[in-house]
Amino acid sequence: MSTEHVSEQLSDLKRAVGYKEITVVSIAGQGGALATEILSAALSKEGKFSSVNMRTTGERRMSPVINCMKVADQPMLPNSANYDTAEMLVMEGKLFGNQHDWIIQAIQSIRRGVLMVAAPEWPHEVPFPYDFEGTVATVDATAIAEEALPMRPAPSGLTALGLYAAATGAVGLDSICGAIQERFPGKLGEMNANGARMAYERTRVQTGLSFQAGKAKLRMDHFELGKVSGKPKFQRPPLAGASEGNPFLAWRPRLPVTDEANCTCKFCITPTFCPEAVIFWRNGHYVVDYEFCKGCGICAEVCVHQTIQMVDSTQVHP
Amino acid sequence: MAITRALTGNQAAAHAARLCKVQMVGFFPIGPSDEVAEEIARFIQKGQMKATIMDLQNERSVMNAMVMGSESGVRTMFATNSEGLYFAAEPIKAAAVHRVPVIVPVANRALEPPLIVTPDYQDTVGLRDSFWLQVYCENPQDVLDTTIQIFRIAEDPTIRLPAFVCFDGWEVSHSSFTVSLPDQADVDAFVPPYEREPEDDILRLDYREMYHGQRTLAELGTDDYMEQRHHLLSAHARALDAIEAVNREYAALTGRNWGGVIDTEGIDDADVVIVTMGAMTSTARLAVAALRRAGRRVGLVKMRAFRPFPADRLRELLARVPVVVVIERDISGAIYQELRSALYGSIPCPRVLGRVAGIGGRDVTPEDIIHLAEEGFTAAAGGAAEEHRWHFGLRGARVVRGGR
Repeated sequence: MSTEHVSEQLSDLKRAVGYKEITVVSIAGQGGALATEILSAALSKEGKFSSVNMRTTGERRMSPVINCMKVADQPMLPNSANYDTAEMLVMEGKLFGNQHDWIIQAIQSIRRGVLMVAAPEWPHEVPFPYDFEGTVATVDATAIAEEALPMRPAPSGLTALGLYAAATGAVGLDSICGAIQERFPGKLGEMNANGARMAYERTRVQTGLSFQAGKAKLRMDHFELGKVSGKPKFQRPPLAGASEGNPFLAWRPRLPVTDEANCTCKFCITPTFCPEAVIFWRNGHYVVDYEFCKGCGICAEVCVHQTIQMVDSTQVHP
Repeated sequence: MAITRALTGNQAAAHAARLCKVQMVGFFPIGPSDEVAEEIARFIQKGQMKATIMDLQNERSVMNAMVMGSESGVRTMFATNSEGLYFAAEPIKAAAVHRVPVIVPVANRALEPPLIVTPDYQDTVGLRDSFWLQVYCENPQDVLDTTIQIFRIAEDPTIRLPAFVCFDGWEVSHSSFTVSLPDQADVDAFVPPYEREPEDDILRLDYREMYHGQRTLAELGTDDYMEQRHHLLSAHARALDAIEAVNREYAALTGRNWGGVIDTEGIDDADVVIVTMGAMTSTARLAVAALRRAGRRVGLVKMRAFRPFPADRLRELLARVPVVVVIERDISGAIYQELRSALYGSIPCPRVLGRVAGIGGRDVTPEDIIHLAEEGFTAAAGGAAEEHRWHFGLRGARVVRGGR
């Protein structure tokens, strides 16, 4: 009895129960996980069973999130990641450039099927970096979410479910909107359901498309997130999140700046107190490694001569 | 009328707290477990639950507050994991001795360093000698059902032990699943109010003051220390029966049965039985179904209760099985060790192979389980198989750097 024989049986079993893998890849905060939750509620209305394995790469900010959903006609579903995705929803085009192992593996898990991208590009313009053959669909879910919702940034996850319903036909738009409004009764649910409907109407679908590995034209900004969350391990995050115009990403509003001319201590205590150990004296100069400085201000507090000032981080140029 | 919703594991634990009318909820930020208290805070805000949230300086303070609150007769819950659990180690060990039924949902997370948020069970398995009850859940429905049951078991006047309700961080805690919520009335009937009598003071402080005129600190070692600890063993023995009985009753009420102390599938004629725990069980069920379709005589045992360890039940069920393959998500290899210990001396006795997998969130696929079952079949046919090893995974296997 060979292992191939068992693999065949596993594939047969999956076919017999209508097993399908749906992968939703998003950035934390966009609503990818919520969209997956609503999708599973909508599918459940239609008599399907689903289970989701959520994987996150664990960065403190803007972590990519992979929701590995499995759907079938019966509840026996594995808890593993997705390796043979039939339907993929990518909530952010920049994820194609992300260099984290798990994100690469997730994006590569679809080779055939339906690829959906929440982006302004037309389907044939999607910069999918690996081999793929099948249907591609896009809609600018972020822009539609901004029409439908008052908060900024407008989370586009639920809006993108309209893209899913339009591209796959695997779940009814009514089930989606019903699930949204059950989860969020009142105005919030109405606005999000409205967003999903607009996305459904404006989705562009193209069948019979194929992409080849290595041919995608990835722009520099596709790799921005790669810088935040990819290899090599230590990449510089944006110095001051607030300067990107996004208040939700604000951190390190102030950073320490030192006027060495005022330093008179024989032994500087700030390197000892820094919780991130980013302060050094090199060749007689005071150096702060801004790549890891979190702007806590302890150095400014403990400096005996008040030589260190905490200034607006947008004014600091290391 | 039971309501059905898509819930994550953390949400399910919060709903269980709401349905069981937990009165005092601890909170300290740590992912992936702290969401349980966040969800409870939303229930309180909407008037769906009356409870006090205690957010203190660190997990040790919070756990202390839970122990003291429970000792005063208040139903308590505090969700934490990994680093937070170990921060709370001091009151954790005290809780069992104080016999307080504090319920701690744990969205299991691997231990640092380095910074890691993805799951394995080493955090709770590492506390296996704390005398706390430990049960492991497969999916959010299981989390809901098992948490409701555990209030009843932990608060049983003949048991009175704190309990960990464990489920994979992120993979279950944050993952949507269709969950059926039982009626409030059914839960009220199933979980009676928590009452605590002064006689429940196991350390009998008043007694000592009264009869010997001695004012002693509760924690000073006494001649009774060894007996006091031994009481905990009897409580564990009673817990084994209670877990079985409460599960049967809950299954009759809801139609859902996640197993008593263990759940089994197809072990009667099996040549190889896989033993696993937690969400990996769902993956194993699919693997076992595929193996069966291929004609392999394979069975499955799910460890639902890890503490108390169901030694007798496992010995009874597995003695006649030729080969057992334990696949576990903890670094200690605890299930392997304890199963072998339970089986030692039985006649007949299976060959037990131990496999550690899924550490630090490493994925375990149906193909991995099939591969490990095949190693068991090789052993069953008289071929060579390693007794114990770490299985790094068929997909994305990493090269272990030498010399570190």
